[in-house]
Amino acid sequence: MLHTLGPGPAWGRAVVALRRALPSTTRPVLLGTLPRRSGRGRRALPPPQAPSRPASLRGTVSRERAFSGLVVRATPAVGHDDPVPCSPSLVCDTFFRVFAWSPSSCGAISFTTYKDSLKEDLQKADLVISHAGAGSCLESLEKRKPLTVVINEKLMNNHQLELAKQLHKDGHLFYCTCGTLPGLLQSMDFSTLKCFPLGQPEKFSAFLDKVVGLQK
Amino acid sequence: MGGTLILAAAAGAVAVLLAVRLWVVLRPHAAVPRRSLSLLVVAGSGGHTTEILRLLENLSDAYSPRHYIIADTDEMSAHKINSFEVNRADRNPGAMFPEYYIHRIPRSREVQQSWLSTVLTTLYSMWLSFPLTHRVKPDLVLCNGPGTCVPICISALLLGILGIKKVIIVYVESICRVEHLSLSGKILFHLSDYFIVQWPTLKEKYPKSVYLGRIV
Repeated sequence: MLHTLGPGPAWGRAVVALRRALPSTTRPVLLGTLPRRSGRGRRALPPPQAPSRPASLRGTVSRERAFSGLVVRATPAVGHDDPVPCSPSLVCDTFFRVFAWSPSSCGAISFTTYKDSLKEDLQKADLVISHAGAGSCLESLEKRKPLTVVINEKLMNNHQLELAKQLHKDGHLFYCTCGTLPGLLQSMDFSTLKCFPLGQPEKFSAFLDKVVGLQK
Repeated sequence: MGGTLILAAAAGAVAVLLAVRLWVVLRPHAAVPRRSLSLLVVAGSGGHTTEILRLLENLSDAYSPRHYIIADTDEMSAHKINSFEVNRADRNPGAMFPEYYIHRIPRSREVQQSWLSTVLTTLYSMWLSFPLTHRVKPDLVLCNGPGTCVPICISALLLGILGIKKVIIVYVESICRVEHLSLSGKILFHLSDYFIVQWPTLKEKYPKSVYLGRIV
């Protein structure tokens, strides 16, 4: 049974990158984008504001609408034998079924395949929903985007859960499972999130140069 | 009867010799001064590749040629590596034409694969990894945890044990591993020259590891 997200923050479009967080029948990656927000800085993230709605949707938006648009990106999981048809309709159907969202709550939906980089989409996003892979988390957090991660409970020792818990403990993101995502989206407060300090790969290169005896 | 005893004695002698050679290879060596060195990078799927490419971003051009090893089913990593090398060359137009190679070996383990079949597939990977590692003869092997790295590192170790070449093995545990090491990490903790962790909790549990802070 589908239900709308109900009255809550109106996000515009959501960035959703859920690699392998969905059931094994599809394993797609889903991606949506948000309108650009202005103003970034090294301080606590501001609370979300209602974005302006595209002209085509004005007059049709109900109180329950949570997203004004959703871009779905799907790729088959790498190295697995299940045939993944990965058609737009299959991916979208799975997405809405798993999260119990109504398609009408996501506005205009478009579909893309694998991209080299999410930089442009992340730049425009107000909200990122991602699997808890290290690369996805780091990329979103470095762009100072509010991040919610969905845990893949099938991974060995669930290392994604470890990272998600630690980053949540440090105040950088929220985390959930497929089933608890709709509830979290309604209740979460992004003003409580803290900026994520950048990593220092130069320390690694300095260490390596020293131990391998590299002369300048 | 006599033949069996001789065979057992010979096997015992070989085992002792191998153990002694292993001890010689693994004990700390002084860094040999050099101006360049060949690098073998083990790139696993998805997040592993992203993380290891972040580590490589700051390395100087002295780390050349660079050999990348990916699983034979992993097209996404090949794509990421090619993009990385092209971007690197674009950022440094004065440098020589980038010298890098991508090699493929079968996966050691698929997600959710049973442990018994993992032993068999890892042995098969070893059968293919040793000739590849022997052909490349790198100065340094760098990896960050995919199952693919275990046969490669053991092959590199064998090169040292057999007196062919001493290869420096540097293992960087993924940032996902906050409280517990990965399976590859637990195996290679004892077999690598430098074992780098990215969270203080792991440094406390494994005092012999190297902690440089967050490096990705």
